Amino acid sequence: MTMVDEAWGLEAKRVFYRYEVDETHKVLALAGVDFEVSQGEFVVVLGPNGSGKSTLAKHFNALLLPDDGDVWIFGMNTKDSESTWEIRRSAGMVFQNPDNQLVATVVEEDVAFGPENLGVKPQDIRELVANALEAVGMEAFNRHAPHHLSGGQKQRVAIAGILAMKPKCIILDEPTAMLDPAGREEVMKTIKGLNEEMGITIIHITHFMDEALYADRVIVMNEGQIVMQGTPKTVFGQSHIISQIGLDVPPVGKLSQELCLAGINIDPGALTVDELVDELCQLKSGI
Amino acid sequence: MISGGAIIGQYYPVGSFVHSLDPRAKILISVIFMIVLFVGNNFYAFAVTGVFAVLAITLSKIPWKVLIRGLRPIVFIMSFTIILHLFLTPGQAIFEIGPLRATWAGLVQGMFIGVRLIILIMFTSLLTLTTSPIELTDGLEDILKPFSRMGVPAHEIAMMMTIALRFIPTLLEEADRIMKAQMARGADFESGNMVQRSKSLVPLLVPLFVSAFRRADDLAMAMEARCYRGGEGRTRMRELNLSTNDYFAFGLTIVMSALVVYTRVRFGPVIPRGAV
Amino acid sequence: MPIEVRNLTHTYMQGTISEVTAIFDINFRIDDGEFIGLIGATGSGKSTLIQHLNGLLKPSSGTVLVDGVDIWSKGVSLKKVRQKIGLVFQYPEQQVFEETVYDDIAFGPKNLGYSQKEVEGQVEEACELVGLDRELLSRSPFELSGGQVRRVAIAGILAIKPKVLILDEPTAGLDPRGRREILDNIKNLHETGISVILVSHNMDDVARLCERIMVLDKGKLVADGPAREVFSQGRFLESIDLKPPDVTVLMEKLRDRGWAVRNDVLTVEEACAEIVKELQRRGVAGAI
Repeated sequence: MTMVDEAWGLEAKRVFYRYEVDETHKVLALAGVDFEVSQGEFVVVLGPNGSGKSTLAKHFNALLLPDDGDVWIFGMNTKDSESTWEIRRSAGMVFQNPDNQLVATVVEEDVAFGPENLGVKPQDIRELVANALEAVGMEAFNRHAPHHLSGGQKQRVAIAGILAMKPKCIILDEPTAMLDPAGREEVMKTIKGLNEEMGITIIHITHFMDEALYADRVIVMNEGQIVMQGTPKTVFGQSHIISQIGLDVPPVGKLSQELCLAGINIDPGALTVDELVDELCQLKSGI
Repeated sequence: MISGGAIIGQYYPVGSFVHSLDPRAKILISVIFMIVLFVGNNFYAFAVTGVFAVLAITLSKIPWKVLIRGLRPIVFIMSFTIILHLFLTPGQAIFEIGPLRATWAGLVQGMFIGVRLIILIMFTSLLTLTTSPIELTDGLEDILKPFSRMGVPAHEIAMMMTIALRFIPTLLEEADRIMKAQMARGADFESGNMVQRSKSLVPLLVPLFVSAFRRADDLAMAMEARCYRGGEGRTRMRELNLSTNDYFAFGLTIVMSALVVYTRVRFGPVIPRGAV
Repeated sequence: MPIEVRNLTHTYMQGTISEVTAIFDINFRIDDGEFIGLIGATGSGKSTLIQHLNGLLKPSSGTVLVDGVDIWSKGVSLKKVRQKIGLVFQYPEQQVFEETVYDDIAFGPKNLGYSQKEVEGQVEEACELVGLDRELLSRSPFELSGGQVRRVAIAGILAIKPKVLILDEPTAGLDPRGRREILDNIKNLHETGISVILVSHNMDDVARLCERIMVLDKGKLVADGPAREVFSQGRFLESIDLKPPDVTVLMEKLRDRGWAVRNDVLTVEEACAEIVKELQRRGVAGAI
């Protein structure tokens, strides 16, 4: 069966995956992950290095297949080799290093790479490329060489390259790890826009805690398992678990929690500057 | 850090008749031109090929300065060849230095080879000057396609060229950074004899290779994730179409070739056999 | 080991059409034991500037004085300068090349002509400073995790015993724990008496650690002063595409709403104390 069925969303069922360190040694990267994403969601996956989040991401793109368990992408099982290309088309993937995923020497040629692989007619490719570049705000750079772009711009081109394949979902494996703050913001705003305006499902993997604030749902992974999930508020509210596995609560979240501990009557889950300012000012007018 | 500057033979982006030609036409014409250049065996032939080259250069709007600069790297080889011919061709002497005897025949022969080299370099550099790397790879892929049944990996060659072009600037920058990082640890890339110098390259080359392999790995995965599965069933955004201009250029090329063949038959070699 | 920079200007590709002036007329002095944060948007000239401090780039004009001596004057050994002023590049793990961790850390001291015994001592000392397990010394650096290799690379610079340590984005690409560990290492290093120049995009880190902040914008040094002073200029920093620490932004916004709080707080703890104080003054906190 190679039909995209949107109603299905993405699903990982008791997924186990081991990778070989050397001939005698195998490490359990995923230890029974159960995970469901419905169409249109914005999910952020957090976790320390080696927690299995990248491994999980690659399962959603059929780049890795589970040793045990199943991964379903819009109703297609990743183990069914006939569905592989349709899975990769409908659940596109953006990687960490902005340099190592651009193939061509000109931006528009690179964006065309995916549709070309799918055998789309030249005339239609032009349109797909133009639309994709516009969606990420890079249309003015269509004839530029990738190596002259900033990190954030390169990642937006990479996202456009996926968009040109008309995906239902984009999986981003630490796309901001190598960017400066301006580049990170560019990328985050771009994917937030794609999620809101085009209804594209986003699974965003990151080390930066503040990026979790964009999410509808945050998944926290540790040692190959999902240890926590919920809204950013509930997840960062459990600060002891967060710090136990070596992650951080964003500074404003920390401040809200400390103020609560100091006996101030505000929501300890305030995570952004504006939220906390509002909380504090309400407090004043309440008296 | 900043790579740039005009590299010889690098794409020179101005709009011109030659720029607008189909890359396949330009590649084929260049190949034909090279063959014709070697078919021509006298100075009349050069008059024909020379006029053709000058016409092409004028139509390309590439400044002569750029083309002449492109000759610089071959000055040494050219003088060497001319001198070699000057002294090693038997014939009537012009002058003698010790056992070396310069001959008239040698001089003519040397000049002949020199002119041929100049025309060759100028004309062929016109191909890369007027065709962007992408067009060039597209054109090459298309020309080689008929041979893929005979086992010529046309698509793979073109893909390799594209990726190489894409990563050359990245790797150059990386080499510069690694070199500086090692210099910050007291590495010395500049002094010492040949052996020491080549040894000192290890701290540069090992990290560069490690990184290149990692990039290759990443890129392979990213390409796979974007549904790449070789040339089979692949389409191209850019379509190549031959226009009237291309047919006109081909026509000129055929006329030029015919004229050169005529000079060969009519006038014979520049130094007739037995003339010495 | 004071470093003094006078009228430093650097132009890449000078005399060609692609000529770019990366830094322009920079002046400053760094004294022993300082902890400096160098901040600026991408392309503001930070990398160009730091590469001048240990003679990897030659000024187009102006001078760099180390210990009062112009490092580009005749008879000055740049190797010696690079020994005194250690520079850790961004993603330093990409420079490791030796078969074992030990050999890689020893590369610097060996180049600088230390005896085998000295090299051994310095390698061990460097490992200790970055908290690298000694068992790793015989392993291949290519088998280690990202955070570990980064520490190997930093140890490779520390092993040449620099008096000044410059780090370009030492935490880039690491997870929060890795980031914290590296920053703790750097803090400890500073406490041993080394001057540190930390180049970073992370304003929270810089605000927490550095005493003095230098700000570059489009190749010019536009601010240079105590961290508190520089970060209290939130609006100015935003105008040059820098994002001040979240707590500083928060205080600024509270002031806009009429709160009498300081705008030069740098850490969560300071902000908390300041807000509580203001609430008490208003009689709110006391009511709880």
